[in-house]
Amino acid sequence: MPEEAAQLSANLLADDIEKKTTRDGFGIGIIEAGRADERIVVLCADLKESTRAEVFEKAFPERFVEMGVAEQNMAAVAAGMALAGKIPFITSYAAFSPGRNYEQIRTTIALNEANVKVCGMHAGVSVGPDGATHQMLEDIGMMRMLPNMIVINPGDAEEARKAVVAAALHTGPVYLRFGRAPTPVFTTPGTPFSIGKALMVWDSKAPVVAILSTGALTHEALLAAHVLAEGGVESLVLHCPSVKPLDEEDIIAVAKRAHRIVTVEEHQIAGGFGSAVAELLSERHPVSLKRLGINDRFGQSGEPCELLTHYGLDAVHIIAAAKSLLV
Amino acid sequence: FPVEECLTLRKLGSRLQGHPERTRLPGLETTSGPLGSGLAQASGMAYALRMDSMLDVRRPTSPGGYALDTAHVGRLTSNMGAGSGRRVYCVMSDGEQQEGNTWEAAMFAGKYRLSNLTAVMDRNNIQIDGMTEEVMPLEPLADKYRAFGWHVLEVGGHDIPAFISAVEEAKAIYEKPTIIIAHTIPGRGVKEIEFDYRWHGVPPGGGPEDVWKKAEQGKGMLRELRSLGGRISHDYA
Repeated sequence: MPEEAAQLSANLLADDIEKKTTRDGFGIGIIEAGRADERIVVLCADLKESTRAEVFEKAFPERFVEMGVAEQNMAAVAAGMALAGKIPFITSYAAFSPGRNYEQIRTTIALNEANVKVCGMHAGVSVGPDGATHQMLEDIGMMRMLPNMIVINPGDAEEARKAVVAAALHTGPVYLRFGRAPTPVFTTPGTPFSIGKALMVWDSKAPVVAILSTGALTHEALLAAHVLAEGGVESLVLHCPSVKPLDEEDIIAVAKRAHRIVTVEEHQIAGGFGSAVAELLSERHPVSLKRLGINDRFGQSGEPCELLTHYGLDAVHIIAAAKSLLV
Repeated sequence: FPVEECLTLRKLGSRLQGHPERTRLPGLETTSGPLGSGLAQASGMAYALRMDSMLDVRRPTSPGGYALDTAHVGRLTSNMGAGSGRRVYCVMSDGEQQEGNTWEAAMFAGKYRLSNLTAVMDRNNIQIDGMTEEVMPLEPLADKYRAFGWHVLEVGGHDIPAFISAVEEAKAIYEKPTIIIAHTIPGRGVKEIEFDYRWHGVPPGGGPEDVWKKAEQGKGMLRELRSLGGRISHDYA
């Protein structure tokens, strides 16, 4: 059953659920944050349309800074601005920021405790036709390894909006991950969000498997839970937008209830969200675990839904993974 | 800073890290050890300070706006503060002119005409692996910065009055960032090590032994400096 406290979309399992991109959620959230705090500035690396940074430019032209195609400089300039009192949001494709400018983020932002928000757009294989060069699958791993860095991977456009506002209010470095393709908006303005907290989105009386998901794939996890329930398999879905800090207590609690866990993410299995869950549970409450993600491969061109199927990340594969743990 | 604290340089638990860190050492504007990140951060600071001269960003916004956490502002910002008339100075090496980020920053500062930014380059021609023009040629540096929209001044880096007037001249340039290329002699004053890249980043006592044994290097160099290379007598052993 969809968890009532999560106040999810009334259309949760319908085909015609509203779809929107998480980058559009960024566009809405950054306006909200920018209106509330004059210190917020947005830096853009020649991608203002596709990152939605242009929305901020239209609203606050004097606080929008075009950096050109220079992601390394964007990160370090932002660190300088932060130390001079600004709250910079730096925007580009995740493949380039943090892909290309990792060292600048590491030294001038993370080590330096600069109040910069790194916004990686077009993350994951669902970028689609652009292909492997632009499909960032290692960003969560890179960012969650950095001390002082918060890592947020919102599930839909509405949660992306909340994540941007929360990042603005949090003092310190944050990495925010966004996608290119429209995805189901399964949360509502009433759905709780806070950094470090997971959200139960589906629950059963006696779950035999728990699906832990981050990012937009949580909707696939919900569809999977629904199908499993129809087949008599009780499950729960814990949505984890906050990859770092991880909601350790909630994750251990569901491990204790369900004894079997499937993790789902649009990222390399190595070093990603599933790795973080495995690290936690293997030390504190070992259970059977199956991690779904990209398995040590690069992406390729294709339509987003084709790619999610090809790489085994859709509801069908989540169901199969859950069942494999029940044998 | 007590003088004896210098002996803790690069030692466990010291505020004096091998490469200085803002969050450990009071008074530092930022952490910029890795080459190429200094000019970019300085440019960001200069840009932000210029925004502030047009807009007092520290003023809390209208009702419903976020409250400013002044404790955090203190921790997370350097002591630059808001307001006009402040300048940013960035001291660079010449070797780091090989970093791509340096030129990205030069382009940025040039585009936005960051006239409140003065960069200083220690042009001593050496880097870790050899002479800059052999490792990866940098010249013509002055022309390059001019092409990037900078005002370029070249001075003898050991000529302090000339350097001071260059710094003053930079303040009078209103439409461009300024770079002062300070030509220096590495190891100046100790003939045996002048111009020798093998002494780059090496303290007396840790250098090549073709003139002095390691144990003699400190004393030998001091003797040379104090006697102006043997031209005057001195009382030190």
